[in-house]
Amino acid sequence: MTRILTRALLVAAVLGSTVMAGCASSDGKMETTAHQPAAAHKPAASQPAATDQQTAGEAVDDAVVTAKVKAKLVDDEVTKAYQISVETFKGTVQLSGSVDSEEARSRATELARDVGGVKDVKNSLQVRN
Amino acid sequence: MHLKALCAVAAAAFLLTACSKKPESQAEVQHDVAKAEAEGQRDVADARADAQQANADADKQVADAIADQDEKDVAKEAHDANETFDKGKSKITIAQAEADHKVAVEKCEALTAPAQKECKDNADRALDQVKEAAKTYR
Repeated sequence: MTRILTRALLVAAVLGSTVMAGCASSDGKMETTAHQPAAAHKPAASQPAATDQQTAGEAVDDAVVTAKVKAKLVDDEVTKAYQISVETFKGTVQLSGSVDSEEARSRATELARDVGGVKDVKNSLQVRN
Repeated sequence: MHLKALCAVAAAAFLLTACSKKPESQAEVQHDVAKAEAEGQRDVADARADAQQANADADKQVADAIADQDEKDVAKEAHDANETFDKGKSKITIAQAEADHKVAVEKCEALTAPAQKECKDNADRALDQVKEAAKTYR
């Protein structure tokens, strides 16, 4: 009888420690999860930064595209009169500044789009009234 | 007098025979069309490769000018690179049109004389139109 009681106590002790260990590990997990957003946020935040990074080659290519778009705008009768700012990132050209007419605005897009190496054009040119 | 009339008749007969060219057989046409297609594709690929190389060279000149921080030179090289790009585009367009023309002309061979001539004239006109349009790229 004493043996049975001892065994029962032992089993209870093992079960109890297992449950405790389970709870402890579960707490640990909770903690990790609680920190998860911060931890997950970091890579998430750095993810776009990583894709936003430019290789040296891309930077040179973008500089070349910018120069070519500027040359195109200067060579054109409609757009040469304006100070149009040109920036390029990974082949996407951003035009900014101001022009006098919608025609000049759309002409600038058309010209930029026609330059070799240009993947996309974002036109932020303002039309002055 | 008789001799002159005889010569005129002979010349007319010769011209008539020469002009009324028989249509080629279906197999011949198919063979020639396939050949023209292959040649055309090769010509277009060559034009494209040449243009790519020319563009790469021109872009390198711009990059070198940027590295040298010579603004005037950058502007000049960028201008030249744009011209190179436009010329390349024009050459590719013309190569494609000439390839299409070759195929179209070979297909015309399947037709009988009057229709064949009209078919070839249409093909010529289409080519001329593309060539004219391609001039605006430059």
